[in-house]
Amino acid sequence: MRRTIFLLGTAVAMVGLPLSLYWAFSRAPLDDKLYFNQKIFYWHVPSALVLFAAVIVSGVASALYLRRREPRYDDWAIAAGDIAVWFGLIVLVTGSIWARVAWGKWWVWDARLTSSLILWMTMLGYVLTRQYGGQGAERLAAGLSIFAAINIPLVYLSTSIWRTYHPPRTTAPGLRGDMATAFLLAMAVFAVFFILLLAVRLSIARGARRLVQAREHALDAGLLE
Amino acid sequence: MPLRLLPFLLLLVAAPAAAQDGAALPPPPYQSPMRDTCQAELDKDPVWSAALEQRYVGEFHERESTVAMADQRHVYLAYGALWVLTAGFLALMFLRQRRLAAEIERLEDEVKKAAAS
Repeated sequence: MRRTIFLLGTAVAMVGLPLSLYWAFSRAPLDDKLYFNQKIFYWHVPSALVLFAAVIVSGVASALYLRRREPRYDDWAIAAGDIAVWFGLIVLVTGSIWARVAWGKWWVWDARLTSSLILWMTMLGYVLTRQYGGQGAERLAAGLSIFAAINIPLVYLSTSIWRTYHPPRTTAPGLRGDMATAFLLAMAVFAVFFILLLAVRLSIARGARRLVQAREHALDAGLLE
Repeated sequence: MPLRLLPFLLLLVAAPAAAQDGAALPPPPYQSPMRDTCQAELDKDPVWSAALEQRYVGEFHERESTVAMADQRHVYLAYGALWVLTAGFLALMFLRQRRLAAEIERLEDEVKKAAAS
């Protein structure tokens, strides 16, 4: 059953990603301000959606891990944390290219950009702590992940709280016609893609933990030296 | 008048002067008799001056919008970066999975050897 769902999700992503590109490039009309360059938006915002979702999953799983000390929650946290770092990088890179087109600069210390950078750096800190922190680093890393999840509303609302160069939150709901279709299609496909990536990364995290446990059991049983 | 009000009064007097300074045009990059003649002619007829400005501003916007419409590099750069980073993440996961499978195989071999001896 799980395998069928996974294969179905993969098929949806494999068809959906090119379809979303087709819609964004061929069907959606040109924007009246940024013209062709506005098309960066169609995958930039869904990447941010994946970043937010991954940080929230990692934060919630970390909180559960700290409370219940069950390693399965830690597996979820590290799997989602890894995805958050990669998609955070995608958001920052594509956002920077957008900034070059829209504002003439690769980077400005705007509230949305800065808070997103802090969010990404926190998640990078989480993953590096998990990777190189050694024994007991899980709890410290979990704290970082929770902090990042708490930071999400601040990043999301930053365009409303401060005066920013970044377009406001009302940009996406204001889209009409084929622009809205292209955007919603990309959001849906990226959501499926995120679930698939999470499932794969989670199975790797579980496998790695079980391998360590199996080695420890073999050592305890005297099968290994 | 209390002395503590003095800074506010100074500010009130200085602010419009400062604003006027800020609004002044930057000095011209060069001087020439022709330039002075042109400026004098423009000053004589503000309507003509405004019409010229309107025309050049319009032309400037049109030229800029043509450049912006023709610029597709950044879009391809952004989508290229996105695909490369996603492919990098998938490759990393694939390598992790392979390393994990190799570790499991090695552990199985070690356990089998230990059990046989």
